Amino acid sequence: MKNTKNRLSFTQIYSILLVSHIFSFICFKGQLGAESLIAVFVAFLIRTAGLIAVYVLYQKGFSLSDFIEKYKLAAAFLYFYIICMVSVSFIKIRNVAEDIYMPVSSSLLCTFLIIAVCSYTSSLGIRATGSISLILFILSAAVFIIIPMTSFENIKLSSVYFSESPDFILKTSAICSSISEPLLLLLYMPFRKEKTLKYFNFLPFLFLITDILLCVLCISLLHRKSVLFEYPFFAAVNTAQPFEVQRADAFYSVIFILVSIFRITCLTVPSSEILRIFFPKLHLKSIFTLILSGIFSFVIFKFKVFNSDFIWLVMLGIFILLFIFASICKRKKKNI
Amino acid sequence: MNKNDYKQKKLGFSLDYNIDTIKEIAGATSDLLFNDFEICGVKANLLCCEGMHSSSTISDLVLSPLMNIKLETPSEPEEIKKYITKNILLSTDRNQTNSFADLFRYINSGFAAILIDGTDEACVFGIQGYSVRSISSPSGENNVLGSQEGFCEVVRTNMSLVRRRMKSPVLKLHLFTKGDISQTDLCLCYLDDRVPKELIKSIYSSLEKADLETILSNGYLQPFLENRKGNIFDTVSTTERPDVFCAKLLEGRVGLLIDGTPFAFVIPKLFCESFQTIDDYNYRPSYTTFIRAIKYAAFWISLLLPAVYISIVLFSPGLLNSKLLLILAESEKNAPFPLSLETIGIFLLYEIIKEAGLRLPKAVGGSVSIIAGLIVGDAAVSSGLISTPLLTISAISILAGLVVPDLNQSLTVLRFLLIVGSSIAGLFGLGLILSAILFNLCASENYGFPSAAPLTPFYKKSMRDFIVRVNFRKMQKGGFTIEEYKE
Repeated sequence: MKNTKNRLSFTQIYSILLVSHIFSFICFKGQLGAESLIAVFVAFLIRTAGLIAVYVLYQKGFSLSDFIEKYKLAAAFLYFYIICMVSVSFIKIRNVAEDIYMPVSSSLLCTFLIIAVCSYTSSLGIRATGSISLILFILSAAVFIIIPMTSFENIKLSSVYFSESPDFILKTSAICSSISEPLLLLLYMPFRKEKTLKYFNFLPFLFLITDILLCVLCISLLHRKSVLFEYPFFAAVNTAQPFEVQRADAFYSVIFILVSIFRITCLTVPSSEILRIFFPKLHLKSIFTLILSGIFSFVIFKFKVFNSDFIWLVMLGIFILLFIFASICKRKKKNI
Repeated sequence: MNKNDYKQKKLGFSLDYNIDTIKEIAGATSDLLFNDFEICGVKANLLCCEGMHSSSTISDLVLSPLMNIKLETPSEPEEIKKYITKNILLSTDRNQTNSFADLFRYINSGFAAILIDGTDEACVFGIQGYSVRSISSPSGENNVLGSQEGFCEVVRTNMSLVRRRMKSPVLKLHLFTKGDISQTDLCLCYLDDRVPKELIKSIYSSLEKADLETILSNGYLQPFLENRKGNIFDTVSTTERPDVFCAKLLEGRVGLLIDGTPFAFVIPKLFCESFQTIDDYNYRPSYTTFIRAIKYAAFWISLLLPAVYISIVLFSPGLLNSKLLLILAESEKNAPFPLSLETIGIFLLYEIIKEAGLRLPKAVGGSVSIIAGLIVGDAAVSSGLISTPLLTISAISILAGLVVPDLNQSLTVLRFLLIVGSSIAGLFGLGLILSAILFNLCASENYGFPSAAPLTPFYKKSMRDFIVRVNFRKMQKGGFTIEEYKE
């Protein structure tokens, strides 16, 4: 991934990761109760481990382009991991589209239309992705500010939901940990403008703060009603009805669409760079990745492959080990 | 002779040969004037184009001095030519040429050419006197407190308008020609101490690749100045105002004046510039900030309001409060056409009325407004063909779009796209198309300068003149140039 003219500032990389994280929160399926904050903290630890692994790698002078050109197996695994992440995103979008009101006849058509737009947005390159991340972050932040402002009367911190299920924390942690932030950081670091890595010190804490704020918001808005809804975000926005409208949740679906398209684009764009190693003459690499992801998501959905949330933790673990191995190999080479 | 063969031909020493060749190239054209005379016993000829020169200037400044040359008779032709070029200032714009191509270009630009028997070079003198439109107010880009001068069709006059405003030697005005047939004069303008050198090279390279026969207006050149295809919004700005032109040159941009059109190009263009006017720097910062915020809001209202209205009324009526819902239901209940068709019909009608108003002769132009007002404003609504709320929404959208006339072309097309998208899939369709628009805007760039700057990529220093406009005392500190945005 030779970086000649596409340069992203650290604010853009932050925005990419945060908007992707917001997508994960919007599509979070499960109940949010008081124990969720513990789950959030566990997810923070797992995510931080991944982020630190990537951070340390780049601090040691790691070059992703050299690594994937040299270790093609690792490149293949990385590409497969991206495909998995994109496929999971497709499934999340489809599941959400089934649950909320969409003025399109089927959730599959919704997903397909989003993929069609992503085939255009992915072709615009890294710079467009970096540029739009800041705009989407601002829009998302505005939405998350409007929600409590418009539903202020419904916020009750005293009456929250406590789950009685024994594996609630573990399950919620696993869901929170099906995360792509370490992967995105690994993919976008080669494009950073600033040589120094000190700007990335605060990244894990930003995620923690975001998670806590959003969880507290949803928990305090939903209270015990949390058990009735599958998607806490959309349930929470149901309580935020500005200007005496009857149902404002349709408006929030626009931000869901924007963030979904961004999430898929930000994963697909760097995958084109990896695919260049194997098929240098292949045109429309991003569309190829999208089609492959679509097929894989169909396989996952139809045959219930990777049904457990824990499988993603295992993949993340392999991912981290792989790059620790890369770092050790590099250090041994230097000593020789 | 082949029509293009003359471009390679050089003048000969024989006056008769040169005159015969010129007559052969020009053919039966009636506006080329040949005046035989002698200078100190040597045959000579004065060529000029009828209507392009000033008769009094040519008599006083050219013919009279030539007739009064006192050298030995007969004299050597080279001596006469040397005397004319060194001792007589027939014009301040003088040159010599030995090619027929250049000779025709000069004559057709209002120069007079003197051919002397025995020399293979023609002496040309600028004595332009053709009728031109005087400097007047710009047709668009109106302002309240600034200059009322606008560019005109003559590139040299425009150059003087720029030079008057920037009397520094760092301002470079480079004149050259483009267009095989039209030989149009173009002038590249920039400030040498702040323009990125790669930008000038890239622009020259782009202009060289433009293989045009003629340049009759801006639109001929604009596609060649945009080095990235597929941009929805312009990445090259046009202006009719010399003050705006100079302000952009001060930021290190490159300007291009074109002979024959009063609109100048400035490269590169940022999206936020469409919301800035010269009046912003004449008003107080607080008022400017307020007006700019209104412009941004107006743009989004113009773009999204009709599509949002259709989405809400057709797919998500729950987004309306009960009072509004009842009013809209009452209005739409008797409408004979589907809402989306009504909306598209109204906007198409507006485009028709706008085009009719622009193209009609002035004498009958007034009747367009009466008919449009009667038909659309009264008859259509009274007869129930169009609902009043929809007409109100459309009018607001159109008026809001007029606040940013620079973006009118893109707004018109995108508005229709969003209407179609929201008619099919409501807010979902609107979200999809809006994503594509935002991505396109963020991907837009020209010669490495991103159009969405300074918002994204974010430049903190530039926020002082983005929506908010700070006091000039602060703005002048730390001098800004466009090179800061280069990627």
